[in-house]
Amino acid sequence: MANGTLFFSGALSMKRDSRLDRLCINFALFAFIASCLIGIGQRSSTLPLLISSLLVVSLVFTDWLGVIRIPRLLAYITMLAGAIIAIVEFFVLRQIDQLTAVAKLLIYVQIGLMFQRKDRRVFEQWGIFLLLEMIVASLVNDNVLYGILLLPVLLVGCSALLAYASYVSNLGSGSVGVESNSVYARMMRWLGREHLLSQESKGISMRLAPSANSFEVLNGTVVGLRRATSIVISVVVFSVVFFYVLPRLQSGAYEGAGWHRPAVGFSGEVSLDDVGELLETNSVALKVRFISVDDEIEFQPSESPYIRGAICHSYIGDGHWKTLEKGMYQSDLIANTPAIEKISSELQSTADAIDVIIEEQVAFDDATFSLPPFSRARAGTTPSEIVTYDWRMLHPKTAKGKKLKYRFRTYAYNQGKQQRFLPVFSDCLDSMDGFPNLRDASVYDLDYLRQFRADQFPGLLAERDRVLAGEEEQNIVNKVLILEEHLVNSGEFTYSLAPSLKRRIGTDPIEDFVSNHKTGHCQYFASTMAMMLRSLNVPSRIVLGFRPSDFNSSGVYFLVRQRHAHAWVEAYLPTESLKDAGIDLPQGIGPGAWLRLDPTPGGEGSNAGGSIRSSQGQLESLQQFWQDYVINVDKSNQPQALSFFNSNGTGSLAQLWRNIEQSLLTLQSSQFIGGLLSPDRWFSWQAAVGLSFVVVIALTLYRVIGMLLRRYAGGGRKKRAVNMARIVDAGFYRRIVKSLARLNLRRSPQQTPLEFANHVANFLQERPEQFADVSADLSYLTSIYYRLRFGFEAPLQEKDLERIEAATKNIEALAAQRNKSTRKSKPVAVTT
Amino acid sequence: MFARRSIGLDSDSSEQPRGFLTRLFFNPAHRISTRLTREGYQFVFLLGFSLVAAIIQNVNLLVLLGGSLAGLLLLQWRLCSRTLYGLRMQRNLPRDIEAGRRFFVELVLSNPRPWLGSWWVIAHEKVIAAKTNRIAKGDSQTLLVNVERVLPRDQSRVRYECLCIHRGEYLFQRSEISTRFPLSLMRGIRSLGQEAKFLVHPMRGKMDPNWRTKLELPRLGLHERRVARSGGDGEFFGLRDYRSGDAMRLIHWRSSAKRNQLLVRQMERQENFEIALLLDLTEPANDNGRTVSSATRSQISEARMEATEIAVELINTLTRTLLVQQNGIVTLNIADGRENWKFRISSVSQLSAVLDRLAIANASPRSNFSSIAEYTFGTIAIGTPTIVVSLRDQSESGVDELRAVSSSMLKLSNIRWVNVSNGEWNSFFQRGTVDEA
Repeated sequence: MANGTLFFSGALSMKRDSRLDRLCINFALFAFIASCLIGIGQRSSTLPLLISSLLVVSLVFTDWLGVIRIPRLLAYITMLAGAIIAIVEFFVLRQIDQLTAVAKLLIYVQIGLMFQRKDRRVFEQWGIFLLLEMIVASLVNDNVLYGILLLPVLLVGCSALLAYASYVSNLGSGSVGVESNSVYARMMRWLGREHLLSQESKGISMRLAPSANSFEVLNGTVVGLRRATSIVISVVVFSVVFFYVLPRLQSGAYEGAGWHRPAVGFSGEVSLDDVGELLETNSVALKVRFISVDDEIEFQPSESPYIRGAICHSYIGDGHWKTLEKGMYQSDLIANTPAIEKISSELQSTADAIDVIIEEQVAFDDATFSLPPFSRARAGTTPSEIVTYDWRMLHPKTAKGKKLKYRFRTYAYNQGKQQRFLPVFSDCLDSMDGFPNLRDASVYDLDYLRQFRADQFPGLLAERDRVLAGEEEQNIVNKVLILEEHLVNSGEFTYSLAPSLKRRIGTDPIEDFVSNHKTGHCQYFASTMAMMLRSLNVPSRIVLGFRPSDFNSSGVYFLVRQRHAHAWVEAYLPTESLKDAGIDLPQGIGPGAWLRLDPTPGGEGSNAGGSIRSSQGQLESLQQFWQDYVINVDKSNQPQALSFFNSNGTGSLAQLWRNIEQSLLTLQSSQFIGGLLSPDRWFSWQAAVGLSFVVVIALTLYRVIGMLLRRYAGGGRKKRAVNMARIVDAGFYRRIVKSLARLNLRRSPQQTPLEFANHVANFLQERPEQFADVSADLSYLTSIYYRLRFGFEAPLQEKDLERIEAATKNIEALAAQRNKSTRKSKPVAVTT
Repeated sequence: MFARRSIGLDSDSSEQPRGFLTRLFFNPAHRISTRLTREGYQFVFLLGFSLVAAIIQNVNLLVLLGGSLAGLLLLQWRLCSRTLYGLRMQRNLPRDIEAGRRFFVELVLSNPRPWLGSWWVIAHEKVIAAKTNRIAKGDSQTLLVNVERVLPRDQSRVRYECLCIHRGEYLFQRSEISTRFPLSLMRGIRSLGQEAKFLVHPMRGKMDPNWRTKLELPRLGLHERRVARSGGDGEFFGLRDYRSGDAMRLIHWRSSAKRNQLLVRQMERQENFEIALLLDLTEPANDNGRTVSSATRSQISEARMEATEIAVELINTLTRTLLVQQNGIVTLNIADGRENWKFRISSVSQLSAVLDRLAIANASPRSNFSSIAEYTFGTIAIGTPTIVVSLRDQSESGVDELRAVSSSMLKLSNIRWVNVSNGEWNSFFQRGTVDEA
């Protein structure tokens, strides 16, 4: 049936082309794995499933049975329809999903290609779409599975290209025609287009012999995974080197819009819903590592650490908390992060010396994370400023939008347990030297932390009174602890991430929580606790941070996800009351200290429990490794990425890596050759000149080394034999004919080699004073020429080859000698 | 069957340039150029796109992907040139190639490298008519031949058919081999050797069974005798041992099998004679100085070319017939303005040189017929039958005048003049046909 209509025919009888079949299977596999890459990026299996089912159908019914084949026009219409659908999705979807729409576009257009009769054009187009799909997959992925799948993708891709090359080479074989010599044809040929063959010539006819293609049919061992494997190994080595050697031009690696949910809940204003959203997000936020300074080993806390992020001081209603704004505190309460030496010896002696390394996996523009009290660490960088009144590290203004990695020393731990109290900043210092403006914590207007509108929270007050009924004699700390205990353990309150379902419109969410549904997440409990404290005239603030429970024992670090976000309360209480309540405070604490209160009960999804889930987490470790050494490599950390290779090594290889790392650091720091090769100056004219110079030197070296190797290193008898054989095959006879032509001894077309040799011999014999007699050489070469040209192709012995070369050189020397002697005289005239 | 003429096509060492720098950068032994294929251009575009995006946006996965693509391209570049490096190609042709008959060309691709094979090597075989070949002027044809693989220290052979309709000198142009191995992103291209010439002998026609009668040559030759000889027609004479050069068709297989050695049939030769053939390709005078239009001139030129072909074909056929069927000794001279060549042949095995000469014979306005005729008749015995195949009439040739002034021309007692321009050849000669394409 004519091409151009959908046809169903008994195509089973068609002669199958094994190359084409192999090519179809390779491309189908490639398309499937590429769609898997997209699926991993989207965390969805829809597209891979769709593609795999379509591929199976097309392989069976289009390529194998040949019963469904859509014509090209219909295929293009299908592709266009797919493209339109994807484009519409592109404009409808949110920005973070637009790349997904592009990926879909690339997949939809492949459907039209799958169901066409396969030929070179189809595979070319398919190949382009698959490569584009790979590019898009790189933009939507941060998953280590991408890296794991990259190997099979390369393997199958190489196999597909090998099969394609075999198919195309065979396709061209037997083409016959007249080569066009037009300017256009020659230009296109120079650009790489293969010979342009027009119609067949009338005078000459050529065609492959019937058996030409049957003598060697490629089998699976030639084109296949085995050969692709060797290619892929080389390519992987190259791409890894390329990846780490290519200097990055900027700090901050690319992050796909859909990779991470934006970090919320740590800005100046936080709502209850924000925290709820955080708690439902699984993406990684931080990586936190504890290092015991004394023995320089990783330290694992016995329970989940409270990692401090944002501090909320003021409740503005409707579930919204706000941090202290300008005017609510004095700006001189911002101080430099204290050095270790500034921390009081009392605190240092009572606390474990532990360094904390925090690596942000998402950019937090307004918050840094800490475990107060803290100081700078001896190594690494620490944000330089803190807000003294609430122990809050200030996010460096220059690092906005960037993921930070910082290290500080915390004094929050005593004998492996995180302390419940927090001294005010000034109580932690030995002296005020270096902090001239620092005053007592009383400067911090605690009234803000006591603000409470009783009319808004009647239910809350009733609840407080109910709980504290009969406890009026207790000191304030005990009352606070009773309230905390009530919220945690009374059983009246339930932890849940979906409180909004029961929420009453028009009632304050905190009041609603206490009075009605009594179900909520940590922010509800913390807000309730803070309000109850304020109602008791106890200054209190809400701390937003993380309480990670996933400890990776392989990597010895906490993997902090956004769902580990947690809210707790800090209450400012008199020192004496604290001591009376049995809380062990170090010496030198002033009139008051902050007590951490965590009123959130345990439950599904709650981070209040404090238990640590330790896991080997191989995949997680791999993911982290992927993040650290691939995804997040940028200008600032590229040299350090090499530390993976030499982190604990002491041998020469480790030293080599360290040297490379140092070189990269030098390069990045714009010091190498006066900064000429610094990435910052890559596009300068100096760099262009330098690069050209390097290329010329490299090219020359490449050529020289190749030439020297060929001449001296490739020796051996076989090599010499090959070279000598080449001399013979290459036409030693042409060499002597050419040499003799310089003496005007030209061989006429009608002259046989023997006649020519006789003629030359006569010529030389007539001029014994001018020429050495090389008649014997010439006679020998002529006989060899006859033997090769008309004989039975008996192989020449090595001694023959050497003699041929020697005789040829004798004749060439004769011509050269004559050339020198007659350079100033007329050439010898010879009559033939 | 290949009675081979081999033409080595490796890089000619005589092409080696002098001078260190020239050798360094322009050594033809390493002149393997690489060109991007169409797929390669697309690949490079996407590679560039991904790398630019990777560098500008610092997309590390794109850097990784770009590195992989660049690695593939680099590997393609090295492999497609390395697999061609050192390859040697030899072309085997039949010893005798006849116009209008298909002949096989065998390409032998040798790989002297110890470890790296070659795959999907496409040989670009281009045959063109030499500039001296007037009748096939401008003819050219190219065939792409795929050699699937050549293993290290091994060779592969592939054959193709070729057919040249016209006789004359042809060239295998400087051969070119290319490969897309391994990924079809680039093509390595290497030129091999130099132009290689080959001659296509004139076509073989068929003489009419009564050609002697029609040519009014009822009795041929001198010195009749009867000997046994191999081949040819005639009655069976006997068997003898096979000698190198004997035709395969003469082998008597049954007897050879019985005696366990090759034996060939000998036929009784009917007669032996000597005859002179003279091919006069001197163009006739040009229409008595009349002015003719270019179209007419073109027609005349074509007619003369056609007549030349007929003359050459006739001489070829006649010579073969006389040698094979009539067991003759033939003296052949060609007057075509070139240097005089005299052939005196008595067997088919000596025919090659004659055919080589006939292949390049062309009509010429410059006549050297008289000197050649004088030379010819000076060497043959008196009364030797002579057939002159010419483009003109005997009267135009000046033979009669020559006979009056030259003693040697007195031998021209038994001459038969055949003017191929007037169509008289039709009665005793049938032109050869071209094999189907």
